[in-house]
Amino acid sequence: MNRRQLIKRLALGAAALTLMPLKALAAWNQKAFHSEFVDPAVEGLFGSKDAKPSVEIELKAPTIAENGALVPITVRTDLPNVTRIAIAVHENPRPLAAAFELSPLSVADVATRVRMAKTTDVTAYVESDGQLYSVTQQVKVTIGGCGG
Amino acid sequence: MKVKAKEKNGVVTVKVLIKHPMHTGLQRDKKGEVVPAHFIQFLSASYEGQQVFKGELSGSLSRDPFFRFSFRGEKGKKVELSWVDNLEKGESKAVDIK
Repeated sequence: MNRRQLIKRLALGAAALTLMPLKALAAWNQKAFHSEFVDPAVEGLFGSKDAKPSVEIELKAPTIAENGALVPITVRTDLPNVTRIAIAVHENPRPLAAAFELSPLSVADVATRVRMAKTTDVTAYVESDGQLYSVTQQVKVTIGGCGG
Repeated sequence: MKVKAKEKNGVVTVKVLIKHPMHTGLQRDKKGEVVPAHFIQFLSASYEGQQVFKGELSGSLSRDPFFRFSFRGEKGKKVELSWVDNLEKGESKAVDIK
């Protein structure tokens, strides 16, 4: 967005901002989300790929997922001042699935459902007090979920 | 978009279900043609004028994606959600916290 567009959007006022807050304030992180490998994806998102393994993150994912099209994932942690949580599925064509931004009001407990192409590791990343932590679990997939 | 927001012990838990194909852009249909990318890029939630959750998303999420998140808030107030996809379509909704 250039300066003129920004001013125009700001001039539209609070009402318009409530309806279209996302478009005006952020550009989708194509570099991270289109990375074909986990490390560059994580680096593209967090600025560093070095995550410290932590037992203080709880990653809830099925051990065996019968349907790779719909794999429930929960990430929860008691680590302090959590600002971001991300989920990566290692051997998906594009590993980074989702990145969540939290706020000081947030409780670090999020859930979603991902697609998995095949049996592979799932890693949850947690940014806490400016440090990056992770936990990884393998999910066995019976039927891949990325086919047409 | 279906949204439920429930407060318990000062923590509001929000569950969101959005009807959306979430095409990655890498899939092929039965004729072998590439299905164009069509997926939600952002989901955000605000409470009392403050953003309490934002998801930056990809086609690696399931079709009709589901989200659950929590924040400290009060019953009777509202939480506002909005999403936008890569085709710049989207939806906003405000629900009462129960």
